[in-house]
Amino acid sequence: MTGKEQEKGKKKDKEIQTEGEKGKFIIERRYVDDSRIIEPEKLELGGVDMSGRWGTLVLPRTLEDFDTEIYEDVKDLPRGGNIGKCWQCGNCTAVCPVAHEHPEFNPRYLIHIVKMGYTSEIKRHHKAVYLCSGCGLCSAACPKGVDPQGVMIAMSIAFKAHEGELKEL
Amino acid sequence: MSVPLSAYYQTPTANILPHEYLEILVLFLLVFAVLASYFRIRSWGVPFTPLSVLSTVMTSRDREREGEAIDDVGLVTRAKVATRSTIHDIFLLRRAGAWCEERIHTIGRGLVLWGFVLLSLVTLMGFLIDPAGTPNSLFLPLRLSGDIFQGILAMGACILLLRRLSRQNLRISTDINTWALQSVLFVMGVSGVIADFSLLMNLVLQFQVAYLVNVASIIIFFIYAPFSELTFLIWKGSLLMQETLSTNSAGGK
Amino acid sequence: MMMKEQGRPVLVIGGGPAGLQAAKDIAEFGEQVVLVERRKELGGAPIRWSYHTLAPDFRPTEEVMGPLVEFCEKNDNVTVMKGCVVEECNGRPGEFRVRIKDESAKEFTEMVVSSIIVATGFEHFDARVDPRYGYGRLPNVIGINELEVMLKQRRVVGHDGRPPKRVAFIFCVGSRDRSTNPWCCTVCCGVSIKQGIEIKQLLPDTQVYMIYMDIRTMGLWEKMYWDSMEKYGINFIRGRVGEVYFTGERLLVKGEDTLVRGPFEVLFDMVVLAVGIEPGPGTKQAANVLKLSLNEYGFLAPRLPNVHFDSGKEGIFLAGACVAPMSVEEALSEGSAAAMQAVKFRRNIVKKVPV
Repeated sequence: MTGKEQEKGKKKDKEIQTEGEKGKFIIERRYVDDSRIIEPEKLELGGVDMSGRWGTLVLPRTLEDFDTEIYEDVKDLPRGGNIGKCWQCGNCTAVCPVAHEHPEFNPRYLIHIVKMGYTSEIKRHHKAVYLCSGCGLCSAACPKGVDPQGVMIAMSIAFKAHEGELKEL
Repeated sequence: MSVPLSAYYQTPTANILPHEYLEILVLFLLVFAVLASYFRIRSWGVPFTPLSVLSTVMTSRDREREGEAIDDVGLVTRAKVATRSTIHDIFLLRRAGAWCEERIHTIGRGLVLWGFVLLSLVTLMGFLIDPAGTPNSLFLPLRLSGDIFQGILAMGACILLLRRLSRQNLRISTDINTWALQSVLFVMGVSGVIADFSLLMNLVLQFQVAYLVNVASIIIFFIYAPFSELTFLIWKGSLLMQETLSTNSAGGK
Repeated sequence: MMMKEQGRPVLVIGGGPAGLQAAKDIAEFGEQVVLVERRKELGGAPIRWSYHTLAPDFRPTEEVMGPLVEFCEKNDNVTVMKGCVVEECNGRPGEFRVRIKDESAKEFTEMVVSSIIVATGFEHFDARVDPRYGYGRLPNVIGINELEVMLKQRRVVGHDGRPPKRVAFIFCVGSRDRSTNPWCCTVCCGVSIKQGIEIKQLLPDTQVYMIYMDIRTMGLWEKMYWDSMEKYGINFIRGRVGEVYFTGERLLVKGEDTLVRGPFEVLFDMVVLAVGIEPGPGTKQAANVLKLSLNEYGFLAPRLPNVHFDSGKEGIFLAGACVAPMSVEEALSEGSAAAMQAVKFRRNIVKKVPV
């Protein structure tokens, strides 16, 4: 590539970048979550200027620890005491009328990430808990008596109480 | 809990509770309910969001986003957003789950909400216009509307109760506190309507019983509400309104 | 070796729960039994692996095994031959001529028996065959059999002698897998959960994680599963483990949590593998000597898969984990069933096992 072509290429890349979608160049881009794509304006590695297209980074989504602080709080908040009984069968999400309209609200999933203490997942999904309409169909369908309706209430409070830690990076 | 008819002063044994005492009692209960819910919410480790909403509307704050300071949004704009959000989220029942499949549940909640709010307004108007409760020309419309709103409240609570009673799996899994709250609201509405109808038809005993039940249910409601899920619902509603305000009034989407 | 000349005895091969129960029942019928056991002690897997308690109710193993072993060793009708193996079998049903070798003394005994019960039990899968988990290479990776020994001693510690703070149980090691063993071991889920609960009872502050594909706590064993979560706070991750690394201090377990649809790499102090049940050398040997057929999995194949005691060969009956993976309670019942068939045969009540 000639110097002129390189310049032209870089300019085009910058245009496309500033046009909108992050990481447009990633193959199967739709599998990658927006929040994990980092595009620094300037990136230099080992003396080589990697700014622009080659500097697009994708953060790993590996869960690295079980941090059960929020779980312990949920157990003590009103109606959250039965969260430990959940065996992730998915009956609650299956009957939830909100989940069918808003798939980002998934009571089974929220209970799992809180019980396991997957903080990165909680950070991504905690806002959805406020979508719960309190209809109680989940608690009616639960085979273990988890009372997911109550657990959603307890988690709403717990997430707000831990707001500082749960803010996006 | 509505403005008494002139008949009230004419029935000999109707003077169970003088009107002024009732007003003081309700005021006291109201203060208690607010304080109790404040302390309960704070014990959860979270802010008292009804206050936060007010303060968000009232205070001005510079906001920075992506390195650029945005011009502070004026009080009027914030108040407009708050009003719009209140109407849309609360009174048009978005927070009651208006988007999801359970229409009847949303309708029941809507009736309870509207019934209670309008009833409170009418009662407040009645107390303000004439604390002593002496008959005047506004009595009848206020009293009648009070009855209608009590009826709406009762209908809403009835829908909520029947919804849970009619399905076996819902019935056995419903928390005792949910039953308690819905039952108190139902009794409050129904007893008020029965009391006034009894008075209209001059059935003294029925009136006295119904009126006692009515007052008792009001007292129980205000004492119980801070410890019920109603506190959580109001907290959550205020929290979401506050977040709507914070994002909307910043000028962005 | 005293043997009363009261007619031909029944030969029971294998001194585990099935064999012991069979021997006891036959003896109580008044018949003679010769009980041949490969190892130097009776009791089979529960004694060999020092089972601390039995599922589902956490009863001490001695409660069941003690009386059985004691009976067989003391009863006049039972002749126990420990450290012995049946080397040859000739003759015909009702008059089997067997040659039993004493492994250590290198002596042979020949006798004529009327019928034979095969109850040769199982072996645990050797997890070194599946290198994913580092068993045999990495410290603090153990099998459920080794954990049971620690639980019996009331001392669960890692190789450094310290109790683990976070333990992972990996289910289905050497089972439900075409590359190792394709069958399900039926009891490993229950046993692992039982052990998880016992670890929590010993070390309440230790975190226990069960990494599972399915939970198969059958019948009344289900209670352990519910209690493990509801009473003991044991955690369940639905997923599989791809690899276990040793960081120099702790074990890094790398897998996928399918309920989160995401990978995890978390540090643990100890990894317990639910090593499955597979047919052992005793079973293969008995099948060779008695010319019994093995099914595609290497277990003894009964004539009809749903009737375990009927080997298809007259006078030879099957019982216990040598036919299919099973629990102690099931093995005991199978021993009893085989004993009944052997006595019926011995007394000429039924010549042939009916079709």
